[in-house]
Amino acid sequence: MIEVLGVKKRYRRKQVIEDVSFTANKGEITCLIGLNGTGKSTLLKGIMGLTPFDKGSVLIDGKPIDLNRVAFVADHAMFPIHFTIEQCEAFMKDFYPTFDSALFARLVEDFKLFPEDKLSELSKGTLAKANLALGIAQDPDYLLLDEPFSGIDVFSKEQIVELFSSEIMESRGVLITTHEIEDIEYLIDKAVMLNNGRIVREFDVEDVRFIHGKSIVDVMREEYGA
Amino acid sequence: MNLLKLLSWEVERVTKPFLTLVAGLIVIQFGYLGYFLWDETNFYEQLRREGNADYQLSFLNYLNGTPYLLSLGIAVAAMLLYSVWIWYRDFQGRGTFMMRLLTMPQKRMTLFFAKLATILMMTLGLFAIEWIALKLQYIAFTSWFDGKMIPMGGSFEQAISYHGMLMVMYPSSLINFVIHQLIITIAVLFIFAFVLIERSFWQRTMWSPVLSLSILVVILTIPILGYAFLSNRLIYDETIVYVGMVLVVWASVTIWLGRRFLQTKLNV
Repeated sequence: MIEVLGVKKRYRRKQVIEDVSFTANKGEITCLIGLNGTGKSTLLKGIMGLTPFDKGSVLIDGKPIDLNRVAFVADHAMFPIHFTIEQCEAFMKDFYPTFDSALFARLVEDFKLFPEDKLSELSKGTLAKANLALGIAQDPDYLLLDEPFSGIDVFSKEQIVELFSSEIMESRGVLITTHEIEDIEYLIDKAVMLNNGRIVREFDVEDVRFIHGKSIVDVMREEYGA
Repeated sequence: MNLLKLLSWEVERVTKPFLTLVAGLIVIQFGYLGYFLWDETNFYEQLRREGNADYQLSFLNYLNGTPYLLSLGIAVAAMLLYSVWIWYRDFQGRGTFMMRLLTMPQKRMTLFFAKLATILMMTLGLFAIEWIALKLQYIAFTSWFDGKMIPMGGSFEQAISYHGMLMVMYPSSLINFVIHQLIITIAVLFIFAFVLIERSFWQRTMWSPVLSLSILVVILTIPILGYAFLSNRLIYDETIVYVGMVLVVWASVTIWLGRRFLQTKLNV
């Protein structure tokens, strides 16, 4: 389980995250929901130590974060953009002991990626798929995805959603931020709603759906008044 | 193991710019050497025609020429800039590659030492290449003037030992060479500390460059002020010990700062 405990983050005069605590379980998809600028990406980057929190802590299964067990997938390339996909793979094989080449090859084939393509030449959707393939092939217990659906075409979206419901993702914990709730609503187990850097609601999606008959978007409307 | 892999990776990234720098230096130096030989020969011929050929040239005359000094200045500037750029380039484009480097399952200091080793290898590489280039220039220099029967004074070693910059690059003793390399390493460590402090505070304040520079200026000046205060009370041996201690303190403090900011404060 990923435990985020009482974290705070300030950028200059703006308190971006204010005393946020939540958990994300293994084998479940937890979605961080919020309007733009509510601190979703900052939270993911903070968990990975890319923007250290001013206060609070993050534990993975009760221990400090182990980067062999957690992978972060950003909404942009995390390699120099003149790299080809196969160069990215070679780099990952060199530096990630858990990198699974067979799994990567399978994802490359499923996503119809061309290993010799440069990252700079990829469309946003193809880049998202390449990023995801590189992240999943790290074979992590937990996967942190920052806006994986942002600005990508409907077919790429479908392929990624299909992957989420496949056995490849079954045992992994996923913490995702997205604006495109409708596309993955039926996959999400838990939602954590943020507003102005605070958690305004945290709920089990199935409970809300079956007990209250509401979708995540309905709850969003209530909270954000949109 | 990861250190070697990262080092090889950094070296691979710098190979093209490094070779471009080397090619530039060689073109400038040999181009200037050609001009120098032609110009000096004409000058000597003119003196000889005027019956006033009491003229002696040394290799140092060439080495003190502005284009030669400029080529060394370009190399120093390029190395200083690259010491900054080796970090900043990985923050380019929404902090892309730095995100990968910082989320790799390894100690972040591995990255620090890989980048430091890259800069030091580049510096030593430049020194070695420049030494070979100097030897070749000296051979060309002596062969040309010998052929023209123009008298020359001073040896290659003398020219190096009387030249301000070359004396630092190629000191006469191994101990001095090690001390000079240590000073170069400390200079690079200061630059690294500057970048890492600045990158740690850039999201907090727009004054992060000023803040990091101030911290480093304080660290740099305290021992110098201390020396100004103590200099009259120290004998020669004690001064040497003091300077040695200051170098060790500067190296330790900058590495400690680099470690602290890289591991716990850096913002991407």
